[in-house]
Amino acid sequence: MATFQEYIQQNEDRDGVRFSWNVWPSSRLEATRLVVNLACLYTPLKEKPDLPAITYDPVMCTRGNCKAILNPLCQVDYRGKLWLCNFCFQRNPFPPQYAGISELNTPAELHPQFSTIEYTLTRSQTLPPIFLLVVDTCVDEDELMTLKESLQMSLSLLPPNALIGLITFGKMVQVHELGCDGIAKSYVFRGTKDFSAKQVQDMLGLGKVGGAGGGGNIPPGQMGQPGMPGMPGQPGPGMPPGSVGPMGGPMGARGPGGQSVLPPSRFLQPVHKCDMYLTDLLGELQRDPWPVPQGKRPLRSTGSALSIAVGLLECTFPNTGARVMLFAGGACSQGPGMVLNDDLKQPIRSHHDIDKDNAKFMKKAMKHYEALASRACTNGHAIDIYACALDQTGLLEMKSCCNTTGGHLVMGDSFGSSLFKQTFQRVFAKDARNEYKMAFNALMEVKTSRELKVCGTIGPCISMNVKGPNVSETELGIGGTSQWKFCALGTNTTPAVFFEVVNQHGAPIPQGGRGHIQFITQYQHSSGQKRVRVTTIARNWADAVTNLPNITAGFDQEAAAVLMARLAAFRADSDEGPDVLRWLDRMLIRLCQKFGGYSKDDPNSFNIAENFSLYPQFMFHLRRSQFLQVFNNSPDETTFYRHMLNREDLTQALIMVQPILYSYSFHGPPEPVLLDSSSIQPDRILLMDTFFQIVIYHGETIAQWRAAGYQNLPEYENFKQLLQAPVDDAQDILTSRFPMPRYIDTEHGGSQARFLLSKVNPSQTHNNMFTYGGDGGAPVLTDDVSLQVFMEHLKKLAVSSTA
Amino acid sequence: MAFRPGNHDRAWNDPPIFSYQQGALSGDTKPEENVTSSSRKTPLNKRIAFPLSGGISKPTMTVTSPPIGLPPPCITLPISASANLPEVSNDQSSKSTLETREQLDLSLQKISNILHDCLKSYIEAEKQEDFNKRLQHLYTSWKDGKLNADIRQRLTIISESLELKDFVKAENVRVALAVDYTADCASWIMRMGSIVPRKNFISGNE
Repeated sequence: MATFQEYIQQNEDRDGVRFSWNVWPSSRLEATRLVVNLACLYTPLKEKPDLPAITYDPVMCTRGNCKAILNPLCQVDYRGKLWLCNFCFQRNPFPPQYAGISELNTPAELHPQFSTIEYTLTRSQTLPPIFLLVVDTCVDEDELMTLKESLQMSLSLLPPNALIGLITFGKMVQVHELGCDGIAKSYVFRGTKDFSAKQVQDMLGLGKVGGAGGGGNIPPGQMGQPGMPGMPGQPGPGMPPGSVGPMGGPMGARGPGGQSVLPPSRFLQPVHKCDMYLTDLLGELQRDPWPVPQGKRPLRSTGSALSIAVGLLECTFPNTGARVMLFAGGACSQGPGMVLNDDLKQPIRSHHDIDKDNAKFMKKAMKHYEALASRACTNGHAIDIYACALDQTGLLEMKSCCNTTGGHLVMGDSFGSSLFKQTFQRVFAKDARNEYKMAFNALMEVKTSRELKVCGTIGPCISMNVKGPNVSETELGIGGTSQWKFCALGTNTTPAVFFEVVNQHGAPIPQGGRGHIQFITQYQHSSGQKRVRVTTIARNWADAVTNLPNITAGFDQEAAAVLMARLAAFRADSDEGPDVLRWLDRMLIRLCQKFGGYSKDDPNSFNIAENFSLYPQFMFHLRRSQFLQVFNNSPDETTFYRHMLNREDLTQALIMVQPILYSYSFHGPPEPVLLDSSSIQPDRILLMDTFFQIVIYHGETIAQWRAAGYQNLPEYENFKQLLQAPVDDAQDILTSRFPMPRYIDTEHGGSQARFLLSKVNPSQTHNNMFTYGGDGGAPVLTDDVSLQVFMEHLKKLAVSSTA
Repeated sequence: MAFRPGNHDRAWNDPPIFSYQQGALSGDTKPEENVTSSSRKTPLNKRIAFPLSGGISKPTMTVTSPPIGLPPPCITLPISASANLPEVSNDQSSKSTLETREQLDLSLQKISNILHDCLKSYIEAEKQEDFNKRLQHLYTSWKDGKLNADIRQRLTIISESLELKDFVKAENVRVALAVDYTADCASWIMRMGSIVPRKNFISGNE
């Protein structure tokens, strides 16, 4: 019989879902008493090479306010050719094409192993994705050269039928016309002004979409006719109502094979047509020519450039998958969205400035980028930001561009760094089927049994404001809706979804004993196809009064930790730091009081089940992590770290909360060790993965041997292998993770050792190093509370009869 | 293995650069399935719980661990106390890979013949001139010694694949070349990619 851990893992492998509780409390009151919310982390586009290719439309419940999709949990009457919706209990007839089904002949969507299944909607239009490069030229020559190389490189990685465009900016903003013969042409805009979509349309000479001349060159009579499937605003057949079809975009002529031919645009052309022209154009890009006086910064019009980019896509290709890719080498210093002025004496805001309300450009800039993000989201366009500079670039102000559209946020030191180059390559990564991992213009909807309601989501998405019957009044994260839009989605993108149990206390367990949830994600595949991924899950209800052990056994401490981390980071964006820490501590104390075993007022008697044993540790490390402790980080860094926490899957997010630490020595194979100062020993090598960094730390003795060169002597081949082992183990992470982590090779006494020392639990510090034990590891110079002290306080408070 | 070290002049703690193909391969498979990795890689996915009962027990200090100042344990008998590892010989490898001028010219001739045949087979006459102009950059760079051995090797593989009509392989190697050596190949690599139209490819999400 599988343990709960195995059950949890199997479900994650099959459906990409991890719940905080895998047995659900049957009443609202009992659910609140469990402390940790009933919630899940769901990866809509989890890589599943074994999914069957389903090329027909999904079958939907016919009840108007349900529209759930046929799934393995539905009861089926094979003789009557009827199926019972497991959400609203409507009896639905099967469509005529299902006339042949029987107990021995069932379609894939009824097989239990296909609780996650994907439909390809062949009747929908297929549109290639669009990439609009927005490039900062206010960078030094070396930076510009390496950036140009990366952009040229990307032309080889893009889908050949994708559309591409180029905007460059410095003091002015230039929109480049592609594929022109002879002299290169571009349209120049003032960088000090904001431009609406209409203004961009008029100034670039773009006609109305849908009429003659739309996009510049649409021949009349080639637009689609009203009433055809997939028209703007009308979902295609078989699609849930109220959802905006991502394919409701501009209609072009139909090419051979039914594929849409996009109306061409002078500014956005297929890669295969303009690759050489664009390679040359990029190669000839020059630095912004405007001279920069002494003591001043270059005038960089990022806000205006982004506005023009969003407007260009808005008026040429609305409602179809597109990415605006902004490459910023510094902060916006003029025009809309400026985050600082051009005077070098005035540095960009810090956390301290923000706390003291001394960031004079921040609010206005944030409003500008939020408005841009909102417009982009309306059209299903994602905004990526690749910011490479040694100083801040204004990611805090621009964060909504990535956080709401689902675009990438990459922060590096230089466009010449391998971190940026290789991270950028991985934007175009392909899966085992040689298909791009990126998806566009996705809508995720959540359906629930009547006993559950949806409180909200924390993830890189925006609310669609769909107020169905299962939308809770209580909002957690992005709430007030049961549908969210992800303009860009990857195979790791994992929103957290929060639920509320609405059954009244004392009400009987719902019929069937199980609650159901269905996730329906419709999206534009990188090939242009429209696909729908459906995941349907069920979990048992249990009465928490009489059956608490059952509920306790189903607790997933890893999922709970990541969910709490996202909630805490979400709160930290608006609340004061100490308030968030106090809230986190209160939740942890309540959880230990509820689920720990103890005698009142006897801390030494405290114990807790194994599946809760890591949770206090996770909370300890979360409290001192960069997500909640902003000291020693810039606002841009904090924004970046929180952005990554809110989009990665459980495994990666947990690494961010509590890094992994492995030890390598002569005394045995590599082994995980406590993230504690006692693990730092002279004869060990430590490998720490924090997600953002890979740190290989050599203990004092190891470092001395290495410095003496023993690894170069044949009789010390084993030492050479020992040094190589952590390097080899780190390689898989370095070659696959997005974004690429920093790589730190350090040793005892090295300055870079601080990355390890700041993460380990400081059980030995300068305050207790002579009392703890001389050989107990390396002391950490800090006044931070250790995990031991934290646990002692926690136990005391949990068992206290007055708490 | 890493292809090149990171750029420590421009970025602190910059990670090493991996060849595009190696990175793409790792990304497609889980670490334990990666057939190109060494057989004994450790999946880094476990944690140790903090003991609730008390403090952390001191890690066992092994009695065999030598004090600082003594060498690490060795597992083989030393050849001699003062043995020096011979320098990693570049002579051997360089002798086997050193190509004569004639061999380089022959290789280039073969590559250009194959590319020329592809041009004639797949590209309309009026567009061939543009292709030829771009490919001249390649030939000139080759003759001037601006392309290193790895680039030349990969170009040979591309041309051989084109000759065998294995267009998917040729394209994969071309993309990897474009990514790993962007600066050296920018002026001609895209044109090379268009030499065989996509409709001639058998498989792949092209």
